[in-house]
Amino acid sequence: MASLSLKNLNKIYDNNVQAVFDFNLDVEDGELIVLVGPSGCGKSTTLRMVAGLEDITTGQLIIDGKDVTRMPPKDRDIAMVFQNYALYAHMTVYENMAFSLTLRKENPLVIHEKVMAAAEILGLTDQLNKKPRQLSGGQRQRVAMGRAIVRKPKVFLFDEPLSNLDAKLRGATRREILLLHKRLGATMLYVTHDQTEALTLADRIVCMSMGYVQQVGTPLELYDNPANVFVASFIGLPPMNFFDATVGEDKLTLEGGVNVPLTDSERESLSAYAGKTVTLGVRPENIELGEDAQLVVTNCENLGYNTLVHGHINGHKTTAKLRGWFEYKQGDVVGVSFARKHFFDKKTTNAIR
Amino acid sequence: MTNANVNLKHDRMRFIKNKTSANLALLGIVFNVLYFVSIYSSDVGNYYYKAEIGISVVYNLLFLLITFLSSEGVKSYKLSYSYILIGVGAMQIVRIFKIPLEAVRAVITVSGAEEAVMSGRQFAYVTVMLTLSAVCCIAGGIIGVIRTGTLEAYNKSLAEGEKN
Repeated sequence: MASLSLKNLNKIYDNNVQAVFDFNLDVEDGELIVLVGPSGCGKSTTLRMVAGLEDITTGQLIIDGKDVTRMPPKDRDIAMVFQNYALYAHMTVYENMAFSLTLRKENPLVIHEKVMAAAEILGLTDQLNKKPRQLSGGQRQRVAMGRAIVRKPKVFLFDEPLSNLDAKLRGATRREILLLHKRLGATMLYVTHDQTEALTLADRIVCMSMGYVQQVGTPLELYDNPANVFVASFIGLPPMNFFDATVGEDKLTLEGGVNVPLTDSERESLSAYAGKTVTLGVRPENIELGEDAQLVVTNCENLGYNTLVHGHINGHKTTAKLRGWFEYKQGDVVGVSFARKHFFDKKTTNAIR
Repeated sequence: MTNANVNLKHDRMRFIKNKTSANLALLGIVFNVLYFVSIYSSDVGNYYYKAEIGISVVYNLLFLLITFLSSEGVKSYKLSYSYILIGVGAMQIVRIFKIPLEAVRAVITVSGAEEAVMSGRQFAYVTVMLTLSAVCCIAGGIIGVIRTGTLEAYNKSLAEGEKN
């Protein structure tokens, strides 16, 4: 396995569209990094630049201390797993997994050992004689991973590998990838637009938007201390609620006149913003029953252990995730308070700390 | 080769098709086609225009069909197809003594002059083609028999290992 260093990577296409701006990242040996962001944010382009499938316009890519920026893909010792599996339909699972090694003219017995070991890890031993069409989506994705494993590459790249699977299978395969990472101790770069995948899989998450890196950090850092409004809204499900609020002496006044009390530490962090308007962010799970504001219910979703209450506070769309089973009707008014608040600069959208 | 490697080789056979036999069978077909496009190229005095030509054409079609099916069969380690391939190969040898040998010996009078139906050179060519076709089919069949036997024995030992 290997360390990976992306230095000031930029990607400008022939039509002068820039997809990636100054991407910097150091990946340590054995780390699982998840690139997350909405469609078109440049995460797949970055991955493809690492794989060598896209030229790097400017910048440097270093794998294990070696500059591979201009090296062809086959020489980079990288394996990529695609969303659509990219399996050969006419080959059996065994042949698919052995194919890359056969092309490299490795000893057939060595190939056999490697394929059997990978099949054992992935639980594919009984499927080796089957063709891809005889397998489920999850099994096909495991074959694609097996094909990568047998090569023992320096870095594994995953390009939205679970997007073609149904929700149940996605969860199971996600756990398998996590186990695989722990078992192989491999350096992995994983691209997804699903923040649940990012939070559950990553050692560190790189959150991207419009070609720019918005924040790099552990899942908890991104969830607990989002760097800006974009990260705050992207990480977490349901997404964070945002309100414009004016900072008072010991309270925040939301638009419409709702007053929300501030704690001492919150007052301290907002000291530079006295009298100004900031963006208040509150996660649905940080809203609890209380007396700070009145939530007018529009509809309710019972999830068993939790209830999602959708409504508005003084006209601001708000979602609360209340612990327990509640059956509110449209028009009901529920008293709520904010257990944890996030503050963002209105102009820069950066977090206020 | 060490014991471990032998075992590995046998284990590999469970997932790798017998392409050697299959390819030899296909090569047998190729040589047969080369024979067939050459055999009737020197029809002096309509020598070949008799019932035998019909039988020869039908046999050729059957040969192509059976050998192709056998190539697919031996690929999947099916013993019966290996034996069929050996039989078909043996028939290619027999064929040398029928049409080519009779043709090379035949002399036909055309416009008062005697002419050989087949030259010695052409006879040598078609004989070589049939022989090569036979060798390919028989070799493919024999390899198929050996490999199928090996694989069956290995699978049996695996099954016994599981029982124990």
